[in-house]
Amino acid sequence: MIIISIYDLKPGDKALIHSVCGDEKFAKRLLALGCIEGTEVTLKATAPLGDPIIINLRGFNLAIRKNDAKNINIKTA
Amino acid sequence: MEFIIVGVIVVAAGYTLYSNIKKQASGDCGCGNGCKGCNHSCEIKPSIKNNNNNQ
Amino acid sequence: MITAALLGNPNVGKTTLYNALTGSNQYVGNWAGVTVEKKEGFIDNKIKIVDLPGIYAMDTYSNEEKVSKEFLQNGNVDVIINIVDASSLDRNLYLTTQLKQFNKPIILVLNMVDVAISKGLDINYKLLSQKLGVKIIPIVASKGTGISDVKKCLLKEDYITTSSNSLKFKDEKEAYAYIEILLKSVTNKKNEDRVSISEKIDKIVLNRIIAYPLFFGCLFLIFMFTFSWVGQPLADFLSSLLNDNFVPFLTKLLANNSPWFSSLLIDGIIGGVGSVVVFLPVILALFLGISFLEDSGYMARAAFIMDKLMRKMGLSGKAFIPLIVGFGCSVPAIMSARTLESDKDRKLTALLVPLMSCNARLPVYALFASVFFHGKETLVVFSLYLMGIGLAFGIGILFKNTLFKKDEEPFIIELPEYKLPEPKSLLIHTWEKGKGFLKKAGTIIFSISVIVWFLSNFNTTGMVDINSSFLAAIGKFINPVFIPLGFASWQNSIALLTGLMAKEVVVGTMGVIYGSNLTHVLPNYFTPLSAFSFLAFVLLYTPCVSVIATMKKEYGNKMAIFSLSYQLVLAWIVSFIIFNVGSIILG
Repeated sequence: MIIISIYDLKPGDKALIHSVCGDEKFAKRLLALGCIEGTEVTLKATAPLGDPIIINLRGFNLAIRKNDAKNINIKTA
Repeated sequence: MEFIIVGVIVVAAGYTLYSNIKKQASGDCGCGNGCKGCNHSCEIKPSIKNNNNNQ
Repeated sequence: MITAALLGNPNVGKTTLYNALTGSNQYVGNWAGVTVEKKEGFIDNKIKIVDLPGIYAMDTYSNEEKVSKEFLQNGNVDVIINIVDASSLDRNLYLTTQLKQFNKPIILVLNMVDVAISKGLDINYKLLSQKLGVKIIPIVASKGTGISDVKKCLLKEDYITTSSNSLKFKDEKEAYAYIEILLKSVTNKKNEDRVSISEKIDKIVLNRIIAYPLFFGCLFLIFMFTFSWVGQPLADFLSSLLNDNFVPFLTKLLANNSPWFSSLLIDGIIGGVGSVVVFLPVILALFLGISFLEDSGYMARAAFIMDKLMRKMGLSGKAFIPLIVGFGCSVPAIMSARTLESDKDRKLTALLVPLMSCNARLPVYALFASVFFHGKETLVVFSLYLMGIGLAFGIGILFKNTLFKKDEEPFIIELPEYKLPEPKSLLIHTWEKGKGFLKKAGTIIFSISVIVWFLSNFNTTGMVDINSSFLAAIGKFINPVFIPLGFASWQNSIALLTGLMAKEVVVGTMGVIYGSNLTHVLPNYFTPLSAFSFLAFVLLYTPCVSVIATMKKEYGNKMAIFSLSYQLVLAWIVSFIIFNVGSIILG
């Protein structure tokens, strides 16, 4: 199982969350939003200028920056 | 008779100005009429503020 | 008095519920020690509802969460009203599990059940209520459905007060595992893998090529509605009613009174207040347009697409929202900057907010545009708004590289589903806005008009011609500053000075000292070029006392003084450039 991050996904890709690292506040916020191990996440779209990106988590859409997306690790299916 | 009316106008104007400046100077209100005065209508929409609570 | 704490995630309709329950019976203050707003409202003077900020959890270190936690622990709360989005329960219920720790009865209000039903979601309320140990009330807040049930429940204290299930979890993973199992047992989700309407719309709205033009196109459309199609024409109609019908009528009525008395009433009060009030349609039209855009959910997308650009000027896309609020009034905009991540973000945003042309300046633009740029009002006013935005970018970049160097902070924004704004609530809010405007006219504009009338008709020797009055003396004293800007006259200087009380007063004051038929008088004191230079000055110069006071309150004296000074200087420089470069170009 290779561990990469949401940063490496393309629009339309789905993946399962492995873990969240990086800034403590940011990680805690994501965990509270349900971004926990095993949850499915989909990369929906990117902004016109490439950044930020939209991910779909548990049925709702979140916009996050690409830099922060690097800290959300996923398992490859 | 005219003087009475003018007197009322002047007092009203003075009092209004005074209370308006007080409310404006409190830094709580945009229109000087207090929040009850316009039911937060000086904001475009109160709900937008909560949209930012992503700390 | 029963105290209820209202909690829920952002974007679930909490404010709509709160407004529906408390009506205009609300007070806004501050939680002690932090810059988080405290909102309290009442139902029938029997129940106090405290609206806590929209949060996702109780333990993630933000001020909003700290304040909520403290209130629930120490605030004598009798019952918790937890509002959730019925169509996406799992994330919403995370907060609910945390709220259970406070051992208070909970009323779980399921909002947007109509959306849930249309998504094929079937929820067993009884079973959910039993398993969670909470009272459940389904509602559709935006339509008003179910609100009375909530009121009844509160008034009758009809909640579940005991619960065997304490719901303590070790971490988020355990909590969500529990929630998932719970939801599986109480909901019956019919398969819907179809792409939602919101996603289809977003494919267009966020498209590489279309996104930005679409955004500006929407704004432009709103301006057309305000200045060309509906707002301005109605204002013109009101204005002619005022000047061609009402004023002559009043003049005849007062023909037998002393001339100074009728002058006070007609030139002073009617002239001042009347000249501002006729712009009510313009204010309402713009407000309606922006409210519509905002209620539809589009504004979150705007913040999203603006993020990268805003980072260049030292802000995050989230600062976009306070800036948009600033198009209404700078005061709540500066206050809403509180929710930004860092102190520097907040300060920089607060400094840029006044450059977003506020509602109060609108009558000035509308008046001058209709007199000097007839047929092109939309273009002219839109260009003023763009100028404000463009300058904000420039100043942002300038300040970012000099005064506000900082690292970037994490950014998360939720994109809610699109929805068609509820006409009833749009109209109610727009009408509230109208009432606020009229109230402002009846108070501050009225009082300034009276004062201006007195000062313009008297000096130390008694009643005199306007050019020898106190006001003229003051105006002539400050006038020289404006000579290089093309629009210098003692009357204009005074008008700008009174604008410090409220920007609409600029028009009001002109209505008093130039006479209420401004359309005919103004061309004697301005050319189109000097008019545009004047409008640019009005756009940029020091805002009203309220704003300065808010700056002072939020960020201290130094920031307030800096803010009002830099704007004055900026206004002067930009006006200077417009007038002088314009003169050279036009020959």
